[in-house]
Parts: sequence; C-alpha cells; structure tokens
Amino acid sequence: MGRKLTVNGAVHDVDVAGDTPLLWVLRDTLGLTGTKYGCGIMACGACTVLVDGAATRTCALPLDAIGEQQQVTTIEGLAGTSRDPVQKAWAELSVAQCGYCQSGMIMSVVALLAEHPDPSDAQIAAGVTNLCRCGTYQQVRRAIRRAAEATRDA
Amino acid sequence: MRDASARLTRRAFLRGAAVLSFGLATAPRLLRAGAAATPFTPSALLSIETDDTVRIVMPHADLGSGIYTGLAQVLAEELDADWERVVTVHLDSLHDDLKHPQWGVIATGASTSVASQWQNLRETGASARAMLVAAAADAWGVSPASLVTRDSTITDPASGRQARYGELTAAAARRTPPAAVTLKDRSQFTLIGRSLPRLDRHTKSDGSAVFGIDVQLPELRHAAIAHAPAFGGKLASYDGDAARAMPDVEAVVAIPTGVAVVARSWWQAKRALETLDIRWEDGAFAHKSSADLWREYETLAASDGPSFEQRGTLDFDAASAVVEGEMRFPFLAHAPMEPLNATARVDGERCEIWAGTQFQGIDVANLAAATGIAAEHITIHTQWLGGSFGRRAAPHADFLVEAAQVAQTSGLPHPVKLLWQREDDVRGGLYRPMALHRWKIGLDGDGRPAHWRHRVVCASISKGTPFESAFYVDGFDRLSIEGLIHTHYAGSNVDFQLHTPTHPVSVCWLRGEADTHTAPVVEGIVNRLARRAGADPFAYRRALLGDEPGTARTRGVLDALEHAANWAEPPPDGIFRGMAVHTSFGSVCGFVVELARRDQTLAFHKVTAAFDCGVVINPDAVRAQVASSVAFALSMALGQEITIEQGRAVQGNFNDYPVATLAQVPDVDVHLVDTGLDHPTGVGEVPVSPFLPALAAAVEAATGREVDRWPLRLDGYTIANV
Repeated sequence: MGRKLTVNGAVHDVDVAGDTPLLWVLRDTLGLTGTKYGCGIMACGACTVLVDGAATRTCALPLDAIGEQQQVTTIEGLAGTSRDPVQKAWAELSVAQCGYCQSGMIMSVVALLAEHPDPSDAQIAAGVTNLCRCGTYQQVRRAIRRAAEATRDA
Repeated sequence: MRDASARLTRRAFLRGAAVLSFGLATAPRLLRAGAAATPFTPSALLSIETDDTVRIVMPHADLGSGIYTGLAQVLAEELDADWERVVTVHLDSLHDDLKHPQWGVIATGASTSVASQWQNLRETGASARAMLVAAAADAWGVSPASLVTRDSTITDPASGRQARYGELTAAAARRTPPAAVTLKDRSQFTLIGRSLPRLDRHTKSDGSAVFGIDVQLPELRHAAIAHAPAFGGKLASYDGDAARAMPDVEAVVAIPTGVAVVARSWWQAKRALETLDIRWEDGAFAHKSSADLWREYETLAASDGPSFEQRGTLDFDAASAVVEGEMRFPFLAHAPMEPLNATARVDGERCEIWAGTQFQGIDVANLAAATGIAAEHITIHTQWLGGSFGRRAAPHADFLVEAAQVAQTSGLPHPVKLLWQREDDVRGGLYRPMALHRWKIGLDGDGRPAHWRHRVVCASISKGTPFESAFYVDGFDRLSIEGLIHTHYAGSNVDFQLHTPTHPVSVCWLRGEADTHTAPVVEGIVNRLARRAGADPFAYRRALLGDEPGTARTRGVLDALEHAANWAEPPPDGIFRGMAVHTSFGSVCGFVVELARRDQTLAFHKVTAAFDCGVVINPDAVRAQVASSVAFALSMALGQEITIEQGRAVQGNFNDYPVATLAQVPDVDVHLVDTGLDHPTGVGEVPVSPFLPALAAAVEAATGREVDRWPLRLDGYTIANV
C-alpha cells in the first residue's frame, strides 16, 4: 500500500490509506506538526501548505489527490528562523499572538508574494483568507508589506 | 453628582476570589540546591544558571497576548538581567510561588496576569539581585551599596572589578533572602515601558512552537470522542464492535460525557468513531429552541426581579420624558483556533497531563475528583495554547478530565491524546451566556437620566462551579452584571435587577466577559440619550461623569480620544461616526469608529482607540491587543451566534460560526493614555467591549436604525473594509 510523498524536498514512503487527509499524514505519519488542524472543512486555513508552490488547504484533502511527483512544502521547509523573508518579517513585527494559525498564514503569504511581489490591499485581502481568532490581521498586513519590500530589495 | 453609599462603592472585580484556593494541599517540590555548578534558584519562579541564562517560570499561561514577554520584562527589570539571556518556560509544577497572588491558586484569567504579578515579580527580581550583590560584596570585601548592576553584571566602580551573575550563583544561593527590598522608581526603568520584541516570535513563526495538539510521546495513542448532541442528554447505549474490528483501533470506551475511540492515529480514531452505533438519551431540553429561550427571557424581563443596585425612588411620572429599550445578545462560542485537546498518561497511582490550559491549580482538583488519583500524584505539563479566550479556563476541566478518563478507562499503559473535532467545541457549550437587557429611563429637563430601571436576564456562569462563592456578591453573580453595576452614568433614582434563568446550555467567561453585553447596552443608551438631547456624546458623558475622582481616568481617556480622533472637526460628507468608552478589568478604553457609507455598503474609514491600562510594560504588545480585540469584537458584531434547535447547537464550524477575516478587519490607530496610575491594569480583554457600542453608534448614524440585537441586523447594509 506504500506510496511516495515528497515533502520539503525529501521523498518519504508512506503507508496510510489514500483517503487520509494530507494534514494527518504530515502531522501523525511524518511528525511535521507545524501544520495545524483547525476546522477539518478547509475553512480556516490553519492547515495551509504549498503544493508545487500553490497555497493548499490539507485538512480535507486526501493523500491520493497529491501526485507522487508533486512537491509539498510545509512551514518546516521554509528557510528556517529569520531567513525566509516572510518568517523574518513575522518575527521582526512580533505578528504571532497565540501563534496557532500563523504557520498556515505564513504559507499563504509566501504563495501570495510569489504571485504578487508588490500586492495591493485588495490582493492581500483576496489572497490571505486564513482565519486568526486572536485577530492579528493588522500586524499581518504590516508584515506582508515588510516581507514584500525585503524580497524586492534582495 | 452621584449619591453613592458605601454599599455601592465599586468593588474590586475579583475581591472575593481569594476563596478560590479550593482547599488544595500540594506538597511544594524541593528546589534543587547544593551542587557545585548549581544554579541560583531563589524562587520557583526564577533560576539563574551558571552560563548566565535567566530562566523564568511563567506563573500564568500566555493565551496569545504576550504576557510571557511582559512578565519577564517586569522581573528582569528589578533583577537588572541581561535581556538577551532571559528565557521563559512553561510551568509544570504547582509550587506555592506560582500561585496567582490574589486568588491563591495557579490560574490565569480576567486580564489579571501582569497586573497581579506586578509587585510579586518585581520583588522576586529585586530580592535575587540583592542576594547576588551581597555575594559579590562579600567576595570583594566592599559594601553592597557601592556596587552597580546592569545586564547581569555586577561592577565595583571603585576597583573596576566585575562579575557575571552566572559566576555568583553558588555564593548567592547560600545567602538569606533580604527581609525587604527597595524597588526602582519608574524613572529608573530600562526594560519596563519598552516595545521589546516578543520572546516567542521565532518559534511561533517557524512552526516549532509545541502546542498541546503537537505533543509527541513514545507510544502515543490518539482518541476522538462523541458527545451527546443535545444539551442535557446522555449516553443510552452503543455498539463498538465494528469500530474495535478496524485496524489500529485499540479501545472503544464510554466515559461520563461520551464515547471515545483510541487508535494509533487520530484520523483512524475519528473514522472508527463514525462507525459507532450510539443511542443518546435526550433530556427534556431536547424540545427547546432559541425561540423558546427568548420567550422565557422576555417573560422574565417583563416583571420585576431581585435588585442588585437600588437607590432613591423611581417616579417616571415626574420625568420630563421616558425612554425604553432592549438589547439582546446570543450565546457565543470561544472557538479558539486550536481545537481542545489534552494528552493523559494514567498508570496506577499517577496521572500526567500535557495540555494548554489556563487553570492548572483548579484542573488538578478536578482531575483528582474524576480519576480518584491523589492531587499530589497529578502533574500538568503546560504547553502553548492555540487560543483560549476563556475556554481553556474550564471550571470543571472538561477536556482534561475527558483525556484522563479515556486513558484510565481504556486501561492502556500508553499516553492518550484526546483531540476534539471543531464541531465538538462549537457545539459543546460553555458559551458566553445569551442575555436580554430591558430598560426604562426617565429623563430630567436636560435630557439626563433621573430614573433608571434596568432588567438583565442572564444565566449564571459561576453557579455550581468552584467559583460560586467568589463571584456571588450579595446574592448576585457579578459575571452577569459587571460593567453595568455602579455605572457612573446613572442618576439618583436607580433600580437595577437581575433575573437568573437556568438551562442545560452551559455558560462560561469569554474574552471581555459580562462587559461584552453590558458595555454595548450602557454606552448604547448613553449615545442615544445624547443624540436625543442634541448633545455631543463627549460633552454629554462629561456632564454625567462630573468631576468625582472615580471618573478621572474615564475623563482622561475621553479627552485623549476626542483629540486623537479629531472629533471637534465635523466629519466629511458620507462619513458617519460613533464613540464609546468603558471601564473593565481595571482599565479604561474608548473608541471612535468612522464608517464611510456608499449606497448600502459601510466601510471602515478610520478607527481610533484611546487606552489607559496604567503602567505600560510593552507598548507595542498593548497596541497589538487593542487592534486584535477589534477583530475579536467584529466577529461578534458581524455574524457570530450560537442558536439552539431541538436542544442542540445549530452551528458547528467556521462556515456557520464565522470569524472576521483580514478583509473585514480595519487598522486601528491606538493611543496609550497615562493618567498617572502607578501600576499596570488589565489589557487583553478590555478593548473588546467598548468597540461594540462605538461601532453600533456609527452604524446607527449611517443607517438611521437603532441597534437592538447582536450580531448586528443590518437590513440590507453590509460592512466591508477593503
């Protein structure tokens, strides 16, 4: 029953039922707990990862929907503390409060900035629909701007 | 202008809470001492390591507001610690040093963490500093008073000698703590008052912060649970044979609150749970709906109830005019982003728990009662909390007790992580109570309240919990009326009454607490009375508040807010404004909300806040709390409500219990106001409540329709941001 799954550049053999959501494969099978469970209906975005660079919610996405050639990137696969421009901006502005939604938020922003290096307010609003119950959105917007500037200046 | 008798003097919010101690006898753990490379551990709160690390055990849970950083700033300030070497750690013992200084039990709540620890942490830091200094003075043969401390270094200015704190741990550990310490004057602060970056900023930006749901242990098992769908219902019977036959399923157990499946992965436990054939026995409440509850509340509101505040004589015939109104508030679920969970290992006589919780000291008593294991054999390892807003301060420790019962009943030697589904949380009760306010106010010739009758209908949060005696004051649950009782706006004839209905829908504190309904009511009334009198809402409030000392901070915030929002300038065409100010958790916060109306769309034009929370430990962290509170409040305004049909919660997830999105939430221009208080007061919950009436006033100005229920019914209007 095993199949291959590429996560953060590493190829894993996973032996779980193909209808298992990718989120739970990442968390319970591969031990990558940075990606979070929030709702189970892909409504909140806490489970967001990149699949071939596209922000993708995974809590109800069956493993079978991911091709063996596709590249999954989780929060653990970004460059690491303070090196990725989005993570760096997040830390500099102390965006996180409880922090639980922020992995998914950051992955959405990485995808947003890849598509729109200088996003408009409307593009930010359309591209970042992750829910944050603490309500960090003002700092999120600031951090997106800072990360965009850092990326352009780099 | 108010004739306040001694009985009506505003009480400290939690004065009665000292009885929370719960009679819990826990043996303090012995602090490590004696070894050569020993750290200096003058308190369970603080350890200074030989490598200069300053380790501060957090006596409160950080629900997200950043108190770990703030509490560390307070202690490190008096210690003169090197901020770069300060680390915070979660508590995992119940040592006396970690108890809430006012409540006498380890717990977090009511926006008290920094305010309550202010003196304690400063004294802990100052005392440790004095012991380090004394150790250096002894070694160098000089007077302690001649030595200077900074950044974890002691300097003798006369000789130029220096020593790091880490070099002095053994010597300091041998000293007796000073009988008294002198604390710094505010002018000497170097850490308090600075917007230092949060200490958790990296681990919460790279996915490495471990929340309760992330706990990994050898041989960890996972559990999912089914609860009775109707409030007041219980398990009748179940057939778990099919589930037990599924691969990786290790146990199917019934516990008092439901049926759980334990498996090798949570997804498999959830799938197996769905195969269970469960019969629930609905209680009598299964015939009830929200409409039934509102009818009961309306009936109560139509008649007199017991008075919690009464003075003078109501005489509406003597009034120049009489106004009446009502406002209603729904049940609200906390819905923290991290679904409730706890990991329990129960083997024989011991119970270990890993969880994000606000209530360690109270949880232990609940766990002991539920498992039969002695409290001193129960350990709680605190983890990061993925939000709480009061939900992880569960009076009966529901999710922790369930985890322990599942682990215990299954008989497995392994740790079991019980994770609720989102629907278990949203449908599971412990809601902000639904509330109905109805008032009748007779006005004097100036349009000010002279005769005020007010009825609140609201279920009690504390009744039947360990907190009943703490929160019941003179026969009334303060958790139902805080924010209304002793309002400075009321005139000389007052009769405020509380009806306390009961129902099986459990209720609990939620960020902002009773003020989430009393502030929209009281401030909404005042805004309407000002409008009716043709008065400016700032001027009208000042007239009601008078110049008594008890209103000085409110007046200070009003002045700052009026200036910051440029209120004196009339708004441009198409911009509609509202304001409100409210005192809660010892702090005063006011908002001006400006909405731009285009056709049927209301867009945030500007939101301005003024906030007096006493001494500000970390200004950026406080500003972030104000801005994020607006998001939290906006969720309440725009769509959140739990309704009941057939005794069950209708809503279950974020698709029908919406959280305000980035696109909806405005930026907030926050102004911190110093009215001279010499200590910090509450922060995290305070701004939620005043935003609601300020928004309502702007909506009323823009639409011409009065707000009488939450969430807002906008009659064809929509609120948008971008």
